[in-house]
Formats: sequence, structure tokens, C-alpha cells
Amino acid sequence: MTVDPEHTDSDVVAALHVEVSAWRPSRVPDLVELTDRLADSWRRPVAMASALGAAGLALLLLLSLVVVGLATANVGWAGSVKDHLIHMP
Amino acid sequence: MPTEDAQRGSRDLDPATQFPELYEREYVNVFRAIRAMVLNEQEAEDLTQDAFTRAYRARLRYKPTAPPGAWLHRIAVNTAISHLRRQKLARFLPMRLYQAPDDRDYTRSEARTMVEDALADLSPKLRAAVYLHFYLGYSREEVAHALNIPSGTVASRIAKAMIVMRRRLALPDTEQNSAPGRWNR
Repeated sequence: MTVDPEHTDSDVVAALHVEVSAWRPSRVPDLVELTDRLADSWRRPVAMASALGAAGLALLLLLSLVVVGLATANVGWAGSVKDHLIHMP
Repeated sequence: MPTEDAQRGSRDLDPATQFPELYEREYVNVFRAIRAMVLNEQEAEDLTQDAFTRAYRARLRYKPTAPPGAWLHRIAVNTAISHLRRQKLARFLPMRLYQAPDDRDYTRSEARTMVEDALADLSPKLRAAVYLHFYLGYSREEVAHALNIPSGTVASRIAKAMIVMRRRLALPDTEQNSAPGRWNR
């Protein structure tokens, strides 16, 4: 729709009305559809946080095992403590 | 000149208790507001659903300082603006992360009407102002509330938008194609 240069704002508004009236969504979803999606929206972040937390704890546990394993394997004074315990009066 | 939908009105509806009615009455209007801002039908459909999801979440916080329609349109305008900002930011991403619009967008822009071309010359907020004021018949105060701008600036901005649109709609096709596509704020 072309508007003549001499025409007024009302022509522009009329053109806008013609154009915008033709804009319609292809479908209007049921409100329940949207609210259901909203009701479930907490699940994903909670599952994500939970998985991350579990993975972090597992890693921490593994790391502590390694540290304990390495530390106890090479303790210089372990033998003297053992001797002391064996020969304790 | 308000539309039939707008005339039927949603002024008497309380979002907290009558959200389904508000949804039914305003869905198409909100879609059109977003469509006017993003100038893309598919994006407008998704964003309308996003806007209503946000509104549903915020329905209990509604205060009757503005009509429910203006409140709803404010959420819609903010949703569309966030989307446009994200789109703008995405252009700075490395090539693999940012997927350039495909040929369909080119075809779509070719099929654009003159009114859409005229709207494209305005900033997204100004497009929304034009739609709310001239199509839905919102008052300056309601437009100001929906756009979160002072009501004093609404009139001058709308008048400016009108000049731009009138000029654009009056231009012949050849001049339109060479006209700068910069937004008028």
C-alpha cells in the first residue's frame, strides 16, 4: 500500500491497520501447555546442579584417596613406629 | 482507532485471578506488538510464548498502576528487546557459534511489505510505540508504561516516527531500496 506524499498521518495509520490486521500467530497454544512447561522448568537446573555436586564430591573423594595412598606409602618414620610397637615392653 | 480486540478490553481483568481470560484476549495483540518489533513471524511466535510465560510467573506481583494490557505489553516489549540484544551480541561470537541467517531470511525480507519496510526504519521501541498508540489506541501514559519511558517523550517520539513512516511510505520502490536502513530512535 503506497501513501501519496501529500497524504496525512491518517493514511499511514490506515496502512498500518491493514498490514497489522493480517498478522496472526499460526496457532495460539493452550495456556496449560505454557504453564506445564513452567511447572517443569525447575527440573533441569536442579538435575544439573545435583549432577555437578555429585561429580564434585566423587572427584574430591578420589583425590583424598590418592593423597592418603601416596602419603602413607612413603612415610620415613613408619618403620620405627612399627619397631617400637613390636618391642614395646 | 482501537481494534475490536482492544475495544473489548482487558482493563477489568486481574492478572492474578483471571490470567486465562487475559491470555485469551491479549494473545494476538501481544503477538502483533512483538511481530512489529522483531519483524519476523517465527521469532514473534516463540517470543510471545516466552512473554506469556514470564507474565504468568509475575502475575501475582501485578499492581494496578497501569491497565493489565499495558503491563502485559511491557513484559512483551522487554522480552523482545532482550531477544534483539542477544541477537546483536551473537554477531560478535566466533563463526562456528554464530549461524548467519540463511537464504530464507533473504526471501522473507524480499517479501516484506512497504509498511514493514517503514517500520524497519524505526528502532524496535519506536515500532512498539507506533503499534500501541495507532493500532491498539493506547494513551500516551499507557504507551509510556509499556515502554518504560517518561510519558512526556512519547508524543515527540511518536510524531517523529510518523514523519519517518510517512516519508518512507511515500517513496517510490527505487528510492526505498537505496534509502539508509539506520534506525530512528
